[in-house]
Amino acid sequence: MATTKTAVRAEAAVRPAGTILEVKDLKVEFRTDSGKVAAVNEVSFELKAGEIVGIVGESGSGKSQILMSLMGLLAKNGAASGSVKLRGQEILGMKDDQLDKLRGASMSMIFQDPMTSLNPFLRVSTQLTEVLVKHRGMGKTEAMKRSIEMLDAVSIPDAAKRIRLYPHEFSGGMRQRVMISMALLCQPAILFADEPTTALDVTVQAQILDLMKDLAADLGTTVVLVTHDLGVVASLCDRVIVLYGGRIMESGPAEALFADPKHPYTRGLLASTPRLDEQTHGELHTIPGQPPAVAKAALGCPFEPRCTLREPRCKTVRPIIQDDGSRTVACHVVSL
Amino acid sequence: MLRYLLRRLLVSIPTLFAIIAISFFMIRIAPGGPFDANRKATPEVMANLNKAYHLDEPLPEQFGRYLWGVLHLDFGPSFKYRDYTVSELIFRGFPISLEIGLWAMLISATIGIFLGTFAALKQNSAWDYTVMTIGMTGIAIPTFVTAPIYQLIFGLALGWLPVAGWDGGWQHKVLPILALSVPNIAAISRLTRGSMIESLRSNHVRTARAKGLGVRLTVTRHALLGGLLPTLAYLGPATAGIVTGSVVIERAFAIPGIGRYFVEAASNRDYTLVMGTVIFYGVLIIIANLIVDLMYSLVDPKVRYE
Amino acid sequence: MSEAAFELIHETDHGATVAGRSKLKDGFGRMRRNKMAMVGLVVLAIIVLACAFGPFVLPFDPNQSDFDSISIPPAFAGGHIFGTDDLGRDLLARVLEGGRTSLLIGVLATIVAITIGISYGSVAGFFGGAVDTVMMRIVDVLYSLPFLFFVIMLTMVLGRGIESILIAIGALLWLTIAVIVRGQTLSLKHKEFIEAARAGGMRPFAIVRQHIIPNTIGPVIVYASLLVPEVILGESFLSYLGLGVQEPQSSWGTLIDGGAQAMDTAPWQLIVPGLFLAATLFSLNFIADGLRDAFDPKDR
Repeated sequence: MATTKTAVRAEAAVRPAGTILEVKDLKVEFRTDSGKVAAVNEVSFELKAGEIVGIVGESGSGKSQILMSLMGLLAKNGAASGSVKLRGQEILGMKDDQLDKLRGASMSMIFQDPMTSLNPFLRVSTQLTEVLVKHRGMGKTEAMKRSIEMLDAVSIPDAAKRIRLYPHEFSGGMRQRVMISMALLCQPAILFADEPTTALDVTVQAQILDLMKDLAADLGTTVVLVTHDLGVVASLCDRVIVLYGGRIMESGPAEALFADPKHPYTRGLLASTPRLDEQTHGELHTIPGQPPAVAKAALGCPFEPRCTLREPRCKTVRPIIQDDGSRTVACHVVSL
Repeated sequence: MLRYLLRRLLVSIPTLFAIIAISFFMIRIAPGGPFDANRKATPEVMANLNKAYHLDEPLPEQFGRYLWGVLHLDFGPSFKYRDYTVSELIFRGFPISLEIGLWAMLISATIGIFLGTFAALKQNSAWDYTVMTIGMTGIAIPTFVTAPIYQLIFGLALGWLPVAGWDGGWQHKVLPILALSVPNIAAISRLTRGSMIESLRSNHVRTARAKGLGVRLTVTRHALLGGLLPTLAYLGPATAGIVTGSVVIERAFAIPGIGRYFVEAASNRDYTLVMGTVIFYGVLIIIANLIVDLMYSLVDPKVRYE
Repeated sequence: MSEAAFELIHETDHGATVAGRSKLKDGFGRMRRNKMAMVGLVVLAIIVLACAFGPFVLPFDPNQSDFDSISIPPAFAGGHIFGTDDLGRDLLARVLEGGRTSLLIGVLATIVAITIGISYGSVAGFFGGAVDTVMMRIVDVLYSLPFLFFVIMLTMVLGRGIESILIAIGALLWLTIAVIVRGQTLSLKHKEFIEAARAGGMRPFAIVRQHIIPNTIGPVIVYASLLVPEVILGESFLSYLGLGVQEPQSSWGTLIDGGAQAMDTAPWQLIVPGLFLAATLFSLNFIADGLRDAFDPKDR
């Protein structure tokens, strides 16, 4: 279990409550050789301060692209449309130099592979202090002090010595801790995490998730976690958004969603997760078929080809999103 | 890191030895002794000459004698220029070649890296294609074609600079250095462009962008280091290229550097001079490669701890 | 294509049947779309045809001096389209003949280098051990000096003329091909199909010939296309220095050397052969680039 130092706690004492992030009708399109492809479509959600939200989906579901578009890191042939408001300020379509004031300071991101995401040619100290120097105007000595404190907070032993090492001299789990500390140095309002534990050993995964949970609670940071692993979501998240084919299938509080999944896709996902506490009789449950080739512009529900509950109208008419204030579902057949 | 350098140094010694040995034996095998041209000499004079130059001793002894001399920087007397030793000739020509070569290297590296980075930042734009085409031109057209053309344009047609010759003044240095730099500028800018494009796409640059560091810091501190590694590694072979190029340049511009001595010696069968220059060049290139290795290890921390 | 988009489109529709396309056809198809490479191919074809058939078409013999027409500048009138040299010989005829020498040396040396390089590299890589170590040492030493220096030294030993140039250049050219092939062999050696061949009782040399070598051809072709201009460049370099092709034969190198000396009075004698050489090298480089892009698409 990670412990956080009191110094960190005290600074974050005052954190405004309320909606931090408003995403309305987010659409992310890519220009490719085969025409325009929409990776993300009509995605809308709201985040309150301090929430931990998990976005779940298979590879190709568009979940990473949501984060990329919010951070302004889309590839050159990508374009995002819709509305994204961070603390009331519209950030979608912001120019890079304006966005740079927010990135690293108000919103940060950690990525899947810590080895390639850290700069192998620079010492960890440089990579940490530069964030403080750039965004908080700190001097080198003070930035160094704060960085060492942060490394301590993520449980890097002997932080004062280790900070001068190069990334390749850390182990996988420690590198991810370094990334987390780097992202939280300026105490951002939001932390985006793109599959942060996928590249790590299972035992290390648990430690990192615990660390993120504790730090988020201490600093009052809202966390948006993208993953394909339901176990990660279950252990960390307050709310869950289920994505398929670039569209939201279902969303709601984690406990409620896991206890009573409504959408056929969610049910299929949960059923196909192998569980240690159950007897499996015969084969493992799978969802037949393949995730959509995004090039095909889909009418109707993207999950229709693989859905066991499908009806004729599912192919041609897009389901309206049902919303009861706490949970949402996009399905013709099932209702909240 | 000291150990790394020492190891590289030790590896070069057998290489150097091999260069000396190969040059020595190759030239001894070559038909026609240095004195064939002197048909006026009688057999006795020939015998005496042979004795004076130790050409009558068995080969291994000659080699041993030669090796010993080399270690003392004594390459023997020139067969052609009887009044001079090879060392004297080399050290007379070397400073000149060195000056031109160093300038060329400096200019090509600076301009090349700058152009390459610029092209990478503006990938697929008109600027990019311009730089790449100039790059192709520079590499494809050999120096012995471009040098006379520069002489034609800047020397004869425009009259801005002297066509050839050397008097230590800067006017005589401009065209040779230009001609020598252009192919390297071309190669380095192409290389830098390629590796910078990759570096800009890399995950750690994405992290730098996610940290809101801004274009300048992201490029200069994060993208440049990794992006320059291949270019840095290229500087070793680039030195060899400048050495080869200098041979042409010195001939085209009538510059009294070692390159010119080398070519003349090869034509005249001046064995000691050829061997001396070859060994000298070999040492030069080995040193250049060591420097490049040093710089590479300074940039890439993983290499230092091997 | 951005990595993101690629990741998305990566999932293929497994319902449709996919017709097989060989990697070779894929590559050449890509190359045909590369405009610069196609231009290079066309230009090269023109030059090669001109050098090969020019003498049968042109009314002038390259070795025929005409003292009435010394150093005439280019003009369509007198028939000497590109002018004459200082002995009254038609420059175009000389350039075309020189081209034949240069191109021939380029191709021949490359073929020799490929043959030796592939054989040596695959054997060294496949058998490994002492053979491999010895060969790598030799390569290291020969890399320590510029290629052309060794060639020059070899010409001192072998004398001047076309044959010695071929031998000298060929003797050093195969090195890099051998290194490439050795590298390929090393990675192929451990693949399953080689193990299967061995388990099936195939003799080592047969394995090398039938399995290893065909799989190394790809990178070799790409590199070889770079070799041809390198050889032509090398030969021209030597000839320019007076250490290469000798009179009465000519190559572009000797013509450029002569042209440079007559630069102030008859600049066309420098420019025409220079242009031919440059055009050839350009085309070959574009073709080589095209081949590399076509067969290694990551490297765009």
